[in-house]
Amino acid sequence: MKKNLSVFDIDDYKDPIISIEHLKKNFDNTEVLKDVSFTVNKGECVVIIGSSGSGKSTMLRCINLLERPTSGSIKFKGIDILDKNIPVNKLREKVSMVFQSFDLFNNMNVLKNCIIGQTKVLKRNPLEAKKIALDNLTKVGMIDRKDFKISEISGGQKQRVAIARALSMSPDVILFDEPTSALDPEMVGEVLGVMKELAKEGMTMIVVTHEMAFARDVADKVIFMDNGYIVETGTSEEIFSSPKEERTREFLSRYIG
Amino acid sequence: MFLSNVFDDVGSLLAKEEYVNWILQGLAGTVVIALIGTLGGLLIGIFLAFGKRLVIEKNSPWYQKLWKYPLRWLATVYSVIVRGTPMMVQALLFQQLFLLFGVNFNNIWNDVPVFNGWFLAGSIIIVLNTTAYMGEIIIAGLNGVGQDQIEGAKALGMNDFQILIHVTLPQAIKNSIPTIGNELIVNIKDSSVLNVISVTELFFQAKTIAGKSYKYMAIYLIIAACYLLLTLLATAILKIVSMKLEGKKINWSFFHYSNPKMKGD
Repeated sequence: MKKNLSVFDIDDYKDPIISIEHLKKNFDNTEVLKDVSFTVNKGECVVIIGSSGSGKSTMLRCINLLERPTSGSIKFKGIDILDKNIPVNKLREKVSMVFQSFDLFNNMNVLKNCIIGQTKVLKRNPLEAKKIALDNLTKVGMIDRKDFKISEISGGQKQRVAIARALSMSPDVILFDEPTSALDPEMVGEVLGVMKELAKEGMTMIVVTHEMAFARDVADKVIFMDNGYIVETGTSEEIFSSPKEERTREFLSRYIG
Repeated sequence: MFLSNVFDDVGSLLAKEEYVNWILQGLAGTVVIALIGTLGGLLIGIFLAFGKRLVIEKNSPWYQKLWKYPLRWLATVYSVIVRGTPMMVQALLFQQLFLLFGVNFNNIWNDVPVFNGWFLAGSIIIVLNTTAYMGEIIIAGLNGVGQDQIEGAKALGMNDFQILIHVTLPQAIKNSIPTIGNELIVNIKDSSVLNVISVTELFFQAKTIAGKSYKYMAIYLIIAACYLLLTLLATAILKIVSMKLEGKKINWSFFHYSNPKMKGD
C-alpha cells in the first residue's frame, strides 16, 4: 500500500477539506492538546489565537504530521491521515507550511529554494519549476532578489521567500506557524500584506498568530485556544466584538485596550 | 664551527644530483599520498558518518533493525579502533596480515619508482586511517546544520535521503572545509610514519640518504624545510579556497590571526 499512491489527488472531495476530531497530543507525561475538534472549509482563512503554551503550534504541526497525535482523528479531503498506510510525504506535498524561523535552505539562493521541492518532490521538469518559482516570487515581491543568498536578505524578505516556496508546491492548504513572531515590527507589515493577498485569492490557510489586527481583518473563522482546549470558535466579528467566554475576553483585553 | 659545518653538508648533499632526485621523489610521494589519504578518507568518511548516525526507532520494522543495528555497531567500532591506535602500528599490522595471505607488496610494481606496491599499501592505510577522522568531522558538520532547515525540508515532502543530499550534506562539507584542510596538513606530516613499510616518501628517502652519506643533521634539516614548505603551501591554498567559497576578497595576511567580523546586524 505504501507506494506512490496519489491518494490526495482528488478534486471532488466534499467540504470540510480538513476535519479534526478529539485530537490529543502528549509529550511524555505532559498533555499539550487535550481535546481539540474543528473543521476548515476550502478557501477559508482560519486564524488560531491564544497565549503561548496553549497548544496552537502543536495542533498546527499535527496537521502535516510533523507531530504525530496521541489520539483522535484528522481527515484531509475525507481521508484519515493517521492511517499507517498513508504516505506522509504525499500529504506534505498538499499541505505546505511556513515557519516562524523561515527554515530556508542556506546552501541555495532565493530562486533555488523555491525550485528544489518542485523538482525533487513533485518531479516537475526544471523549466516548469523555474517558471512557477518566478511567478510566486513576483507575487510576494521578491523577484528582484531572486539571485540573492539567504544570508543577504532581511527577515521579512526571508519570510516572503518562504511563502513563495510554499506556494510553489501548489498546495491545497498552507499552514502558518507564527510567521511574523521573529520579525521586527517594521517587517511584520510586508509579510502580513502578502498573506492578506493570499486569503483574498481564496487560498485555504490556517494561521497561528499573535497579530490580532490581522485576525480581525482577514480571518473567516477565529479559534481561541487555551491550555490544550478550544475555548471559543466564531467569525472574527463574533470573537472580537462579542466574545462569549470570560477567558476569551480576558485574553483579548490584553491586546485591545 | 658547528653551524658552518652543517651548512657545508647541506650544500654538498644538494650538489649531488642523485640525492636531489631522491628528495624530489620523496616530495612527490608525500604530496600524492597525503592527497589520496585526504580525498579518499573524505569520500569513505561520509559513508562512515551515515553509518554512525543511523536512526533506529523503537517502532521501526524488524527488517530495518536487522541491517541498521549491525551497520551502526560496525561503524562505531571501526571509528574507535582506528582513532585509538597509531597509524604506524596499523601499517605494520596491515603488512603482516597480507603476508599471512601470501601477499608481499615487495613483488607488486617493483620496477616503478615511488608508486610501487608499498606505495599502494601505504595509500590504503592512510585512506582507512583518515576515514575514521573524516567521519567525525562530517558528523560534527551534519549536526551543525540547523534543525529548522531539516524541518523546512520535511514540510516540503522531502524524504530523509533527499534532505541529506540536497540540504544537510552540502552544508556540512562546506562548513567543515577548514577542518578537512587541517586533515590534509596532518596527513602531509603523518605520512612520514609509513616509512616503516618502505613507502617512498620524504622521511624514507631522508633515512636512505642519511645511511649513505652519514650527514644526518643536514638531511633532516633539508626535509624539515621541505615539510614546512608543503604545509605552508597547503595552508595558503586552503585559505584561498575557503575565502573564495565565502565570496570574500582574498586577504593575503592569512597567517595572522584576525578577528572574524560579525555578520549581519
